[in-house]
Amino acid sequence: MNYWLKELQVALYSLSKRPSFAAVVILTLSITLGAFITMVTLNYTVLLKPLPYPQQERLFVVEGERHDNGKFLGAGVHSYAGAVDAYKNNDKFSQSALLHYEELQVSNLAGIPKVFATFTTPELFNLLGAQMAVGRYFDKNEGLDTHVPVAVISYDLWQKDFNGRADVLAQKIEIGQVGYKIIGVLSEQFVEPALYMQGRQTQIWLPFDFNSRDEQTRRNWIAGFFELKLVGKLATGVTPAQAQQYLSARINERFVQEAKAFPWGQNVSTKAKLKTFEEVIIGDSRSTSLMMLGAVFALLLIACANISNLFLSRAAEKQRQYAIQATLGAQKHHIFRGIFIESFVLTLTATVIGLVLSHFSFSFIREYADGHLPRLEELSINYIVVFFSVLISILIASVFGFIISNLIDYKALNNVLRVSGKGSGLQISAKTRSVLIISQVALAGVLLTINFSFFKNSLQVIEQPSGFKTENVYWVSVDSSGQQFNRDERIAFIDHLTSELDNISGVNKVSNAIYPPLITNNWTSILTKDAARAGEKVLPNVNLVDEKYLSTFDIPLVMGRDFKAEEIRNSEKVMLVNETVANSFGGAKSVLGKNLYWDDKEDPYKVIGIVKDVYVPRAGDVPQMFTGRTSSLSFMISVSPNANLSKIELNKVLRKINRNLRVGEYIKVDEAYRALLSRDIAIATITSILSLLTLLLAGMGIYGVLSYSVNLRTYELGVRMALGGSPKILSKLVLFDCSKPVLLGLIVSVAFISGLYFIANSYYELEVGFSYLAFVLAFLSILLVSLFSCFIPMSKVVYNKPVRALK
Amino acid sequence: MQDIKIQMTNITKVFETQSMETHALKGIDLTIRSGEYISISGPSGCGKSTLLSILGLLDEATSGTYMIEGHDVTKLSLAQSAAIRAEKIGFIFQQFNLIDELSVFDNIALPLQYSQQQYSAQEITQRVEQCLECVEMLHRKDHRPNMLSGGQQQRIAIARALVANPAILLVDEPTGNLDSKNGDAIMDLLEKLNNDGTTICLVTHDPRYADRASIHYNLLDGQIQKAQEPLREAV
Repeated sequence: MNYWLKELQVALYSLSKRPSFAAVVILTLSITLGAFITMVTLNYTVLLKPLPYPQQERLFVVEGERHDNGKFLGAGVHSYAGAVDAYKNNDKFSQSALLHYEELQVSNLAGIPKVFATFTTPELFNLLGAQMAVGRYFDKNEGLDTHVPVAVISYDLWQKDFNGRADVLAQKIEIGQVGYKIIGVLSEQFVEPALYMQGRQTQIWLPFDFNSRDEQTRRNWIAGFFELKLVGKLATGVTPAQAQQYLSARINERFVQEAKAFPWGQNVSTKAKLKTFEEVIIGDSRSTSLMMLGAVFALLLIACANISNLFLSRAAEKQRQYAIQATLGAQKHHIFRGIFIESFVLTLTATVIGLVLSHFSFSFIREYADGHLPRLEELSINYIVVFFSVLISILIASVFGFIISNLIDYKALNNVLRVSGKGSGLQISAKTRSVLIISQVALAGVLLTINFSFFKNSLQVIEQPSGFKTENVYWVSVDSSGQQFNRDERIAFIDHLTSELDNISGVNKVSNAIYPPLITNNWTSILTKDAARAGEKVLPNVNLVDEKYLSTFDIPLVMGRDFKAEEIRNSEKVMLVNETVANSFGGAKSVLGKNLYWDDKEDPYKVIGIVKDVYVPRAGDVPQMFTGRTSSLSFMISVSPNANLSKIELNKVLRKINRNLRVGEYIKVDEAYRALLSRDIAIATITSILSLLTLLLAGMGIYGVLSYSVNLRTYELGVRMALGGSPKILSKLVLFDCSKPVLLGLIVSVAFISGLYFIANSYYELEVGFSYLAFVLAFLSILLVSLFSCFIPMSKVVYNKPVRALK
Repeated sequence: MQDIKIQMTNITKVFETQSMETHALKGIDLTIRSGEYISISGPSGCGKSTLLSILGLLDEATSGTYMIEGHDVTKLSLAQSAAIRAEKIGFIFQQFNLIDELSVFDNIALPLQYSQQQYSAQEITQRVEQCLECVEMLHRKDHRPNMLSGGQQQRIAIARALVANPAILLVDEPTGNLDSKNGDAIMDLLEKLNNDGTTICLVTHDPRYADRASIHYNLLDGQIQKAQEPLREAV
């Protein structure tokens, strides 16, 4: 023990004499280890860590699938009646629960906030093993068809909106016309399974009976909803296949029967598919998180190669000390122990800093990857992470110690003393130097090419013009607090609202429409050319708009005309389609003026115009149809460039019309559009940081090795200069020699990338293609870095008096 | 009157550090004529290496004039100095300074490759082999330097110094790393070269070898004097 302590003291003293060496090693390792620990934690959470629910392997989500004549139409939807029926009549699950996800405004909380609310049945909390901070969760008296207005709130809402007050159970939550008594607060540790949307955290849990679906929808076996989920725990002795078969048969029987009433429903069917919670929550995030781990691992390898080089140089510097030790009888393991302890001091310090960096990086990941990666709220430094990190630091220190002690030529040690330190016994061999350069260049080449490919891809998405006006447009919906209207009353009310909104100072135009062009997959419907739905079928997004919608968003018409005001008033059967829909039916000319059949409506709609496609990030070519209607309390408000339409101002206007009216949705369209780009902005940011870090690390490493190589050749260059070698000739010679391992490293990286591309292309569907530009950019960057790394130390020799090199 | 190969007039060299100035050479006047064999000797630290560096254009004098074959070479660019070294000066070092990665043949060919004069491959081969023959090492032309003994390596270094037909051979302690037998053989070889017309400037601290030159200079405290002559005052 004493011996180790002594070695530790020696190592600390020795490092204190070389603070720059210690600082570079610690800085390089702590940054890369921090990134590596973060990625390992992320991958452990995503891939290995069990979900925090009892018997999580037996928890399943029932997903509805739709088929037409055997052809798969879509998945993830349930009809309301079908889901409730499966919940009530199901002996394959020991427990099951219904969920309906919504966003609602709470009228009795400050600022009337919009919150994530989930309507559910009591079994859910038991299935999830939920613990309560205060009170209880729903019991059977608050189950389906009981209509007891109670609420369970999240710990976060309790702290933020109720200031953590102790009498929270005496409070109510008012939503619409209903006041829900708070009966419990979930524990701070409760982790909600992301079954509907990544990053969505339910703030208020309400009984399923109170969801927003109307009576007609509740009896409907056909209309499917993504926000409706059925979950359950498989009963003992029942296999997923058995449960799947039973549920499919049950929901399909009634579905087929009901669908026959429609012309399109003769051959449609539905079935239930069971997916584990893990499959639903993790989804396709495995490849993303693994890829990030791979990138950071490559970065760590580059850093290790750099540090190996630094350690090798340090070993060369300490050759006299090792020689004295060898002369006094030190064996290989004695020298290894010294190197190991010095390395371990550095790697352990770097690991501690890395853990701190990692802790802070979790917030960064939560912010940028929210909604794209699962279980981010579970990321934390725990004892497993700490144990793993210390293990990594021991491993790295051992590897350094092993490599360096093996590279030392023990026979040469004696020689070192004999020639008074003038020998070159511990110089790093040319082969080792070449291997270091090749490996660094190859790793950097691969990493930079992949990074640049992702960066380019994201940049293309970010820079693609939207094709519609996003600036100075607000999407505002009005909450009428359950006020009921007949058709004429609703039209008159919407007209009045439109006129009042139009009168607000700074407002240029107000259009009544369900949503702006950036919303996709909210309402899709079947569109066909013939009444029997036998021909080409298109599933466009449907939007009900007025005659001012296109001009509000500056969406150009390719052919035909816009709606007229009277067509909107009279709800005439006319429609606009976009280019994608038109192309599906043979082009704009073959659709314009023709009739198309929409959903289950018997009368056709005449196409009066073709509008240009708009670009919705990552959505591809979205088919869209517009029908002229005055329908919803949703408005697109275009304002002057300097005008600011505040929510307070809007609420004032609405209260003047009716004191029960208030603003529901309040979204700036450009912000919503930017939110759609958030993933690409995050990718572009991360890849830029990674690229810079790669270039920096690789640059440092390549510079270290090349400058060391050049320094070793100083005397030789001096001799060549004495023999008449001019600076130009010697520069060429050195650059040529340096370029050999660099080029070899690039060739290795090209081979690796080609192999990677081939495998990815053969076995996976690639979201991002590797581009030649990325190849070229990566290689040019590395060549440039290598050129500088070689030129700087070389110029100090060859552009100086030869006598200096010969000294 | 023989042609003047080297003429140094009032050459000084001052090394400056932050706190002090060191006058390494104090007004050196030195003339070497074609075919002469001169030796310069002196104690350690007297400025021998500094003088040799300036003679070989490896370093610049602080002041004074330096002419090689009538051309002023006192202030030249690095590239111009390199060109003159390749064509006019042959170096022989104490530590041989052969490049381990190159064969004997390639080591000797280096000055020809660095010369501004273009040599054909045939010409290079012919000249290298001729020089190897001259030092009796032709049979070793494909060997690597580390496969040769010290004496053999120094012979190769001499061949390399001769290959470009330089105006002068600058020889720095050629026997310093050799035993006396090999040392004598190298000195015999230098004498033979001089007899054949090669101009030689030898720097050595060994009086036995210094005396073999036709003119012997002593260097002391940065000042030069012909042996047996009174020390001249620095200008």
